[in-house]
Formats: sequence, C-alpha cells, structure tokens
Amino acid sequence: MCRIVNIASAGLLGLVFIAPAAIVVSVANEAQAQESAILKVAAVLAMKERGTFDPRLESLRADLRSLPFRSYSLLASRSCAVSSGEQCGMNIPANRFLQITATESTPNHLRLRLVLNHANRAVVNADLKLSRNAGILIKSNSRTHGGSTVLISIKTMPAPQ
Amino acid sequence: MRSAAKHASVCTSCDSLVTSSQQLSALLRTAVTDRVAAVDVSGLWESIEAELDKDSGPVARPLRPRKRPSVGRRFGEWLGALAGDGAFSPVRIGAFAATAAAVALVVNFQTTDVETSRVGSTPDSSVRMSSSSSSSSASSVVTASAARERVRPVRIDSMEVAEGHNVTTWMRPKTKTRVIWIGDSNGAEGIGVNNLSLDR
Repeated sequence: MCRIVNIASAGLLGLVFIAPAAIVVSVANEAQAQESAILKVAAVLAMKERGTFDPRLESLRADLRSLPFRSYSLLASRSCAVSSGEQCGMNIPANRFLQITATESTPNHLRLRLVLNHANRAVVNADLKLSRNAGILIKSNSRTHGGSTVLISIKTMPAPQ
Repeated sequence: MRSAAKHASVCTSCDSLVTSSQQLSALLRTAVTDRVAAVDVSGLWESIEAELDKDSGPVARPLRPRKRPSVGRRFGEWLGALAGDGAFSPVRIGAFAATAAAVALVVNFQTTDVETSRVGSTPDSSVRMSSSSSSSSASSVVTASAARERVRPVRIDSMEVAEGHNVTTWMRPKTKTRVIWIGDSNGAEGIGVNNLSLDR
C-alpha cells in the first residue's frame, strides 16, 4: 500500500513539473503553426526580341536566365501577408487574374491553392506545397497582342519578426 | 662514479669507509621518524574538544568544515521532502520518469506535423492535367511514386489545366523555384507539349 502511495506521489510530482512545460511548448507550437508568410507576386513581360533586362527583376535573374526569352520587364508586383485560410489576389495584365489561397501555414512550409483565370475561365488550378524560401514561376498560356508572354513569379518570404 | 664503485669493491679500506657512511645516513634518516612515532597524541584531540566545550558552553562549534552535499543529493532530498516522508527511492524516480515520458509523448503526438502522417497514408501524389484533345473531357492522371515523396522545396499536390492547354513543370534546384509552363495544345509554344515532368 505504501509502495503504491509512493509511486502515485512521484507520478503526481512528475505531472506537476512536466505538464506546465508541455502546455507552454504546445501553445508555442500552435502559435508558430499559425504564423503568416509574405508572398511576393510579380508579373513579368517576357519578349523574344533582344532588349533590356529590367533591373527591378534582379532577384529573378537566375530563374529567368534559362527561359527562351531575351528581354524582361516588370509589369506589376504585389506583396501580401497570408496565414492559413487567407487569400491574395492580383490582376495580371492581358485580362488575367491570379488568386492565391493559403490553406496551411507552418514555420517550414506553406500550402497554397492557386487559380489563374483568363477571361473568367480557370486556366490553372493547382494545390502546391512550398518551403518558406521557395518559389514558383508560371508561364501563362496566351500571349499579348505584341507577341510577348506574361510570366508570373510567386516567392515566399519570411514574415518580419 | 662507476670507477669509484669498482675500486671500492676491491679495496678493503675504501669499502669500510663507504659502509660506515651508509650506516650514518640510515641513522640520520630514522632518528627523526622514531622520535615522532614516540610522541603520544592519542588524547590530544579529546582534550582540545573538552577545552572548547568549556569555553563555548553546551553548543559546540563544528571543528572541521563539513563537506557540502552535492546538488543532485540536495535536489533529491528536497524532492523527497516535497513528495512525502521517506527518502527519494528508485521506485519514485522511476514513476517520475514514466510520467514525464508519458506527458512528453502526448505533447509530441499533438504537435507532430500532419505532413508526415499524410505522406505515410497516401504514398502517391497525383497531378491532374486535362486532356489536350478537345473531344475528351476526362482528365488524365499522372501519379508520382512514393519514392518521389521526399522533401522538396515545391511540391505539386494536384494541378488541373483547362482544356486545350498542356503543362510542363520542372524544378530549378539552385533557386528552389518550380517552373510551371502552360502552353497551347497546338504546340505553338514549342515547349513541353503534353509532357508533365516532376523530376526535372
């Protein structure tokens, strides 16, 4: 009987010591899991003709270099902070609209639902999982009247502390 | 030194001189220790204590500095006192550890990333791509094997592209960027006609 009481008291003591720490850790993880991320969306006009490289696209140079275009210029850009369940939309030139919905946001990755509409018709509907420092580059289907192509870049950036 | 020793071994007078010197040296060494051993100090400590008791009354001061118990021992004693009577026994330590482990396990299960279990339960990820032929409305499904389900900077869980278009996708590992290339099904774009690649 005494032995059982001993074990029970020690177990109780363990709960007293560990449970608050566990609750703190759990709350901290919960807070981290819901933290927001910043999406940087840019619409880029790409042309086959030789031309200039827009200096504002310097951060995308490594990605754009491999594509079969010779000149690039920034059409529009937008940054939006999203957390789980939030949306971010952007008008893309040539009658297109990009809608991004964050379905999950953790310290390590983001899950996004990405819908690219063209003339009120969904051209692409994708569910993606991105690491925090990763990005997507979309070449949309249709060309502008000048024969240029619109590229859409989506980069995830860490949220400011 | 060696030649002197060699000579002393054959010369009788020198040998006697060396022997007498050794005897003198031994006598000097042992004389002091013998004297010290002869002193009787058996009652010395008791008499000192008795004198101290006389001066300080019934409460005697500690004569030697007591060794402080270790931090672990003091913590154990404190825990033992906190838990109840008796020492902090191995049984209690075991129970404490078991409870702590159980709580840690529960917390771990609650905070585990869902991704792990999801990958385990559905090994195949599917990428849907609508058929490029305008007559067919059914979507073709491309499956990626479980081996590809490793951690990647960008992973496509599913993707649908409108009819009349095709899609090619590849990864740029250096910049951790996935390129999604949408083209017209008539091949006017000239790149990635009806080709979906997750590995590139």
